[in-house]
Amino acid sequence: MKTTRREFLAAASALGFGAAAGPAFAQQRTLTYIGWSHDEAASKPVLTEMFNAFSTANPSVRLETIGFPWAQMQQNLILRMRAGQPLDVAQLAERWLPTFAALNNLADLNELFGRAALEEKIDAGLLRIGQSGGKQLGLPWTAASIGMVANRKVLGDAGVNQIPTTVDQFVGALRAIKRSNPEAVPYALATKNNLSMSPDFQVWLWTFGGRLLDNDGAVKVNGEAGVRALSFLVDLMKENLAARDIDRPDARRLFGQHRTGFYADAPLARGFARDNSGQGRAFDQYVAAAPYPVVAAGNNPQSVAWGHLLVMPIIGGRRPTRDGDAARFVQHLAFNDDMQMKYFEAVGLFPVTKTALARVRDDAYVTQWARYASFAEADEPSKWANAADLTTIVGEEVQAALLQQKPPQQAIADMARRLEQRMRDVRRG
Amino acid sequence: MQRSPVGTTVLATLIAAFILFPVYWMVVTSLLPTDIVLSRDPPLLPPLSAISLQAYADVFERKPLLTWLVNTLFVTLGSVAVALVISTLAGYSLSRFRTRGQQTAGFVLLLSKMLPPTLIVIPFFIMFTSFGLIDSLFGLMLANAAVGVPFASWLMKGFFDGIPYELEQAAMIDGCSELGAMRRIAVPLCRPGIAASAVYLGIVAWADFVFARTLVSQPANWVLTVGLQSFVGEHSVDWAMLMAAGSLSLIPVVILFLLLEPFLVSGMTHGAVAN
Amino acid sequence: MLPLSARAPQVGGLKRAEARFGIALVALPLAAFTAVILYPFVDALRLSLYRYTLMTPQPVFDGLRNFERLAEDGEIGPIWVNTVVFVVATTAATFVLGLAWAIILNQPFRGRTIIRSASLLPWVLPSTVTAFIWAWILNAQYGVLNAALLVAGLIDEPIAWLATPEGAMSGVVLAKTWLSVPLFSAFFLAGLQALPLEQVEAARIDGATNGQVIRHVVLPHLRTTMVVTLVLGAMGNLQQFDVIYAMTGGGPVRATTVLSLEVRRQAFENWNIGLASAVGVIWFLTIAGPAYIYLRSLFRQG
Repeated sequence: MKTTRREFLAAASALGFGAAAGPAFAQQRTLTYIGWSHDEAASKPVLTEMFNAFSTANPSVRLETIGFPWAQMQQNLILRMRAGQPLDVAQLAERWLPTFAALNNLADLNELFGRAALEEKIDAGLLRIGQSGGKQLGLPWTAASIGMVANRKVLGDAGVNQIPTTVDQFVGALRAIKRSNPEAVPYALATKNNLSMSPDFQVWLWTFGGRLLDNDGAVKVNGEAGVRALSFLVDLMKENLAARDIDRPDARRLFGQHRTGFYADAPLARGFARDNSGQGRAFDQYVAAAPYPVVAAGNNPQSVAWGHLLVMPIIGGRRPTRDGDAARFVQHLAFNDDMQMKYFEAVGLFPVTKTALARVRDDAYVTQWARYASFAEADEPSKWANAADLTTIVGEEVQAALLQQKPPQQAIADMARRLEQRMRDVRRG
Repeated sequence: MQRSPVGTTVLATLIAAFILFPVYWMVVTSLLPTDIVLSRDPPLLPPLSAISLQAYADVFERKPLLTWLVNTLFVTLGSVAVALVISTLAGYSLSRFRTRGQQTAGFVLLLSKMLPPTLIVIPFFIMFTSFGLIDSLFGLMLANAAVGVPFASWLMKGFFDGIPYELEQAAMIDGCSELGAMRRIAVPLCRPGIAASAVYLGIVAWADFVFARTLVSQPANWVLTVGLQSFVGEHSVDWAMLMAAGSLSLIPVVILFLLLEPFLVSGMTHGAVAN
Repeated sequence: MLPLSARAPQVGGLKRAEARFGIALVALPLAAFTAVILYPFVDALRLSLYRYTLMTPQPVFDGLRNFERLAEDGEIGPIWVNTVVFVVATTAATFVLGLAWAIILNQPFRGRTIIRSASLLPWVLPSTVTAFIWAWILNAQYGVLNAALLVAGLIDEPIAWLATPEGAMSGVVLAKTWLSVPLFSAFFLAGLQALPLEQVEAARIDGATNGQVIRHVVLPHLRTTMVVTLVLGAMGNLQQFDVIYAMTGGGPVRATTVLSLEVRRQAFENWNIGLASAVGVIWFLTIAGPAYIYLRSLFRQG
């Protein structure tokens, strides 16, 4: 109960004044960081350690860290920026970047650090997830993909000894799983939450050669590939190879209970399986990074790029400088190999620097994952400022087809029509 | 009445068990590891060997639950007090002085309750930002009071309507001022109404999530409903900790209720009977 | 409680001093009302005429464009229907169950006090907890409802309750009803306890059955309580947000997207405050008429 006294004081000061955001120590410069990971049980200890390392190295800086729940991060951050409350560095999911870029007050890291210096540290391919409108607005902190995860035990029990690489093999494996265990959900495709259904559908859409939008924002989904991809998923549902009412947490749970063969997730999947199975690292042997199946052998497996970014907002005209506190803090988290490795070892988030990536080569799960992730594409709606609207449309139409409320052709046509309406707004500005 | 008391007891117990099952499950799951709770065959009776208080220890170690509780109590009690004064005055005036203006105010008062809080919170945010009330428990208290006042005023008007105005007129003839007559005659007679309004206002503030989430961001100022959201992470839910925190949050309410229950019920009934 | 017999003075009979007092009395509530109720209310409605998004730091007047867009999208109709279905179903269910529970609790039986107190617990449960527990009960893969029905042999395979439009709507109605029955029954119980026993006895002597006693004695006595509870309940359900949001997120395919969720989506996901306000205005216009007529009749009665 060490914290009780501090909590009491915090509560007391909150009661007295309310607006607690002011600088408390005049002799120290305050650096305000907002994120969600350091407030989550799994990553809290290691991030606290990393923050402390920064404070020790920079005694003149008082690091104030504010944690918001994941679900409220975007809203709270935008409201805070609108209200002009202090903020120097923030953590973002890569797909939020265009929304925040629209606020037009994120520092361009190309200007701050120099393009060459960034590319020397981090592979140009990885840096892409932090780019919006030709600027490097976010620095990758961890980067990978939402890729396919396979359960070796479930596959083995079904007599499938090789991880499938083509769509036909994949369907064959799913049927084998269903035969060997009728209660299993062979492929835990997301069917509940728009935020998960949209990326899951996009990967299949790409696999079948389609796109939602082109680079200018023209809607491209209404074609043969779109209908084929969605029909494929609907057929899986009809054959009971995928199930209703599944979101990522459900899929992870099924995976840890050996009740699903495949699902899509970030590389943290291995950690979730350790927790959900109750078996810890002993479960690692069953978790395999799998490629998303391809239509024809030899094609590149698709996946959605995924990562966390660090951004430096310009609040009240305070522009970050190259050797300012904020820049030092960002480099401490994303450029420092020791910190990157610490983070990876504690929670399984992939490092981003070339040198740190070289140090994780002997972990087969990581190298496999990284190989597939090298083909990852950015989530399409997230290139646009109205990403949330577009994601909802894609998710809803996909769900309508999966739940057999309308035929796939109809769903794709409706999706195209609705996307066009919303993209018109974007072009109008 | 015709049914035997024992039969009624059995029936009531069964219904109560049904009503309380989610509460029971909250407590049970706070004591069990999540991989047992969310399995295909959840154990309705907790296996004693698996029970652990770890989640409670984790809550206290990792989350400022006490701060959330103190904040919630402060906001709740504060907004009840503020709103009670305003709605008693408003209710009295709506009941006793019926000018056209007041009737209109009465309508608008209620109509304003008909917009969803998710919408009303936006002007609050803009207004509070310009007055520096953002991120302040005091501001949140004010907002919650504002949300509760319309219905509470209307509730109070109903109760005041039940008290004959002649009583106050008589007091005034005896030399009491209008304010005195209201304070000494009408308000004391209206105690059950005040109790009912206080309960209503208390629930509004205690359960508020939309305002607390939008108007306050600093973790030191979080209230319970917002804090509990922090167990829902990017990838997973700390189920056991969420349920442990939920169970703990019931304690102050239960204590408050045990203290107030006799007063509330007897107050309500006495008041009604006295009329 | 709240008998209707009392007569308040009419405007004409008011003496000047009393009128002054009345005004003084109203001043404080009126000031508070203007600042924290009327202003946000009017402002929320006003913003519906503006383009106010993430890209526009200041609202820009945009005429009826937001309403045109709502008409183009055609999504507001189904959302409107969802809201009505949710509010009517939940309020009705809560009303009936709350009244029934109050009548049971009003019987003398052993253990009444403790059951009465314990059954109040649901409404102090934090909504996040409520939503998670109900989502778990109804979960297709590891929910207790499926587990129980499977064990009982009533179903052969798990049912995805929240995956159909009807199932999801029933689910959120169920959860919200469960949440508000205690409050309703507390109100009814207070009303019932004020019921003079002699009236019941008299009716019984006249040969009335239980049902007749309830219909002819109990219900008329509870009339005012019922009105208060109905209005309170309908308003609460109209504004319900967090349980639905956490249980279904408004899905599947918007089947449980009610007005308050849509407003949040437009305002805090799409950051289109103008459009969110337009949704609010449409809702307000729909209920302002009936609400006005209904309230006026209430004020007349009083």
